[in-house]
Amino acid sequence: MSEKILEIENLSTSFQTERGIMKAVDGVSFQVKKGEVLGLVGESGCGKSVTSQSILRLYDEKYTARYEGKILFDGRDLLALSEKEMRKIRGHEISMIFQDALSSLNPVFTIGNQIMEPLLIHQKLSKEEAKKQATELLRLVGIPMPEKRAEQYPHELSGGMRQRVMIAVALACRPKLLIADEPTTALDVTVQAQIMDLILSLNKKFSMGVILITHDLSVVAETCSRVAVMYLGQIVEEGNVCEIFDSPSHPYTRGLIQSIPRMTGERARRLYMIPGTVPLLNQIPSGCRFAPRCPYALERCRKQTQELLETGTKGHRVRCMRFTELEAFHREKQADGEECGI
Amino acid sequence: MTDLYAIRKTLLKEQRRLLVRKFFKNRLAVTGGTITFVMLFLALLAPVLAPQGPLEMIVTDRLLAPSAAHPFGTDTFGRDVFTRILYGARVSMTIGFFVGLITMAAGMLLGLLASYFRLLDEILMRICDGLNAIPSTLLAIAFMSALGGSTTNVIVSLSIVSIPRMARIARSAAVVVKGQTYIEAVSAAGAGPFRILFRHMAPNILSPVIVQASYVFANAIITEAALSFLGVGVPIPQPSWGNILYEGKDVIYNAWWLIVYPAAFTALTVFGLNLFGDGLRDLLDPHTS
Repeated sequence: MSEKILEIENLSTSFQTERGIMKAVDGVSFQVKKGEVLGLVGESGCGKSVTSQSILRLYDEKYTARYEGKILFDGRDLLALSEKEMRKIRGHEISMIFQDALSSLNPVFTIGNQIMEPLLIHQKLSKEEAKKQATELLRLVGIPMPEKRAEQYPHELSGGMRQRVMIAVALACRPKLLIADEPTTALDVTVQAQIMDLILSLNKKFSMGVILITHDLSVVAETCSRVAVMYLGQIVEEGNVCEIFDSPSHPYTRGLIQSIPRMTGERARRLYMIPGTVPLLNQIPSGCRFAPRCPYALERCRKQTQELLETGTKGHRVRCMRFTELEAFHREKQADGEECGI
Repeated sequence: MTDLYAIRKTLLKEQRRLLVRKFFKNRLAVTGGTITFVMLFLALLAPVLAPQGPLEMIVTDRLLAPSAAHPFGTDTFGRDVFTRILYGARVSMTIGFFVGLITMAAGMLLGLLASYFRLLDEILMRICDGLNAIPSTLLAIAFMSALGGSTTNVIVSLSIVSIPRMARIARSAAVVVKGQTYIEAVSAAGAGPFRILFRHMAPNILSPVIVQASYVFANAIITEAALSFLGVGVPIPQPSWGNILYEGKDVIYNAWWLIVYPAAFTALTVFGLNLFGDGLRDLLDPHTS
């Protein structure tokens, strides 16, 4: 279970825009092991989607996007591959599920046809063979009467069904890594749970790695084994899911967790809110990027940039120079009986 | 959930019925469609309906006014004008159809390629701008005088003239489709550019292209008549609406029927096709309702 399938080293993705070069992802490093579910969390605009799409190199490199760093997949650097070799990996060894399933399915093809697509592209199956497998895949993702459903068009299906179809498309070639970009955001809560269960069961069944991108921390808490929290294109904290939720070391992570409404315990008078909004990419503050919104920021936070630090617990890293002081501070606060953490 | 298949079938039937009803509710479109189909029908059945051969001359029957024997009269050589108009419909319909088809195929191809490859886009679109800058009839005349008169050459030059606009329309539709998530999704599934373009994008840009093709069809009929009238279209003994007009202009004060009937047929056909095109647009294009 400790075999690494994806290792990202110092990945940066920048875009050439009218207002200059925007670095949407800045020096991100993380790993995904076989059979592991990694959660990538952060507010809108923090670079989680860009990170995931960079893994598949989906941006137009000729004109707008520029990647730096290394993306090692199965020992190969994806950024060094040609477009043609990259095409063999997309949908075959690494698959992706998008947020809105309806707009991710071509309205003019039946869903059966769309599931056949990756099979026809990568495995060069005959049409009949592909059709048979497509039906099997529909059954696998829990769609009743797959033979009949396969002949329907995307608009005839419900939201949950469509997302199941997307998962079937993504799993068609048994990828080693599945990137799920907010797969449940457009769905209602009960369907959300079903889809997450499905992704988890398939993750166990095929022991593939999963990168789950979401801004829903409750989903992360239930499904992921490890979490990376992103802020403004950088990872600010990374660690085991229990540690992140039990003892968040970065003030941003703490803020995110405190912003979840709680079902148990004393009801807070007002839900916590992280002050301010995510700054634009051309207004990245100097020093610690979170400093302008951080309640604990000091003068040195605004001046010095901070690398990821080991907290002492294995695999737990945090990008905050005051994390030891803050840890002590919060422990004291908790001892005083004040509301804090989870 | 007893029989999903049956439910779906009735649903589909219902949808189709609604679509058909929507079309028939649009009275202008129905009129246009009827006119177009009558013309096609006349063109197809010309050999059966015509009382005489299109080139058959009866010298004693020169310039006869419309009568029971010659419903549209006869021309300077004693040929039956009704017959020639029926055969002329064949020429017009063939030219219109092939120009429409070639323009549609080439325009779609160029539009799709232009939407995907930026450098090609610049080159193709500048060429289209250049061609659009010259009035299309003049350009067609220029091509015809360079190529020489024949039905094939009329089709070629009219296609060249109408491709730029079609390419423009296909390109703008393709650019919209290219930005859709489902195109991103198939590229994430490993599809190459040609698979994306021709399998996934092409069916999604068909509606505006088909509508434009119906206008191209109509326009080709007018322009063919104009070219033939000017003597650079279909070569002379062949019956075409433009040719009948061309031959009739010398005797316009003696034989009005040589001008009125072919002109009326041209006008009616084009009118019908345009109405039909508008109907198709209302039906296929959800943006204009």
